[in-house]
Amino acid sequence: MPYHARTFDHLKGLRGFSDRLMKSHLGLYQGYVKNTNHLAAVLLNKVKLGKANTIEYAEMKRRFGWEFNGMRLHELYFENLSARPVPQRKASPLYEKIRQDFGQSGTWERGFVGVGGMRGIGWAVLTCDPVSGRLFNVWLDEHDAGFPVGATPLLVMDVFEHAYIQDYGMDRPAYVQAFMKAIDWRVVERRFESSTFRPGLAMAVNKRRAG
Amino acid sequence: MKEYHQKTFDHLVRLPGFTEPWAKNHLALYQEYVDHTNLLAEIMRDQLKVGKSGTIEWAEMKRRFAWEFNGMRLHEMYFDNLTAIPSAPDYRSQIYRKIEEDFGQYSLWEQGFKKTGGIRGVGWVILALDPETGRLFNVWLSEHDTGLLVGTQPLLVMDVFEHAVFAGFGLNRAEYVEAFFNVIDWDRVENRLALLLEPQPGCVIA
Repeated sequence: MPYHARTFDHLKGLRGFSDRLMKSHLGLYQGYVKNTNHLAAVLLNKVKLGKANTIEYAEMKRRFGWEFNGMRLHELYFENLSARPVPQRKASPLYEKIRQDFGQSGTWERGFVGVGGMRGIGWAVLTCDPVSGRLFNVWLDEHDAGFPVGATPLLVMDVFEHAYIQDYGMDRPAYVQAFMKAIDWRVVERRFESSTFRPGLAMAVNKRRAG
Repeated sequence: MKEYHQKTFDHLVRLPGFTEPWAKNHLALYQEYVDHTNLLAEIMRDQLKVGKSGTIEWAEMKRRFAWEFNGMRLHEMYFDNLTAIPSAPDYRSQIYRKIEEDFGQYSLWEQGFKKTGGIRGVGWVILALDPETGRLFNVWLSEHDTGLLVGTQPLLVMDVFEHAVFAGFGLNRAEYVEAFFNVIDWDRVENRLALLLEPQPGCVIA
């Protein structure tokens, strides 16, 4: 069952981001989808052929998280941006949880923006640990280092150079500010409220039950 | 603010194929991850409150955090999917049928998981479920923090750090992997899958 590249038409006219930048960013994303499908198919085929103990299998396996997360993180990132951004609702369960875990919403934001300013290439992600319900702002080195096990990603910000250099040059703080202003908080709140449950999962299992 | 607390895993000292010192050392090591997760989280939170979130100390603690957190969480899931009274996976279970659906045959999955456990390096092997599509993957993590698939949920977790292997099996990692397979708690794995199939209010699933 291959992954399909999604279109993100709601990004047209995103304030603070040029069409040129978004076009190349979406093109880059499609490459991750393609490579995720390719690696997954080749890996499974190696096992079928009894070649799971080879160095090729091992190194493709080691690489898999880089491609898969490059796909998934971009989807979450594009999804939580909007040409018609929606501010955080003060009555939402997420807002309440942020206040509970960070004291004030402003403190959380300083922390998230601080993570986005870290030296290096990667992602800033607001996550929720489903075991304790606790929120964390986390840093990922590139796509594949630093994600907490089992966590639910709520808000995702790309800080690879490709995300801003075309429009902002070396001024990463200006990009981060533009990002913060373009968030659709309804999406973020929905992720918090609907947790790990996804319709895709229920469908896959129900289909199998029926068959 | 919740702190993380060390959980108890009394069954570890009775695992067939594993020694008591192996279990005790492993539990002591796990405790250090819990302590350091709490410590790092507390220091970063305090620094954030006093406006020190732009410092290099904060940044490097932030970069390190998942190493400690995952070291804690992965050990908990690993201990939890081992049992002193093991049984073979039930071919009628949801997890068995899901494995057959995604990998063609159960034995192919098992071969893929075991060989992933043979990858050169230090880390973990995870059978993970992608909730977006319901698809299963055998995943390799380098150490605790590199390679995890974003948003996926672990169903079965195997430690392949040297501390898990050397104490009982020396350099023979393949033998350790076999011993691990003999003590998998398949009911626990089935239960993890079942939990993920239920809609959960809010972020908390357990």
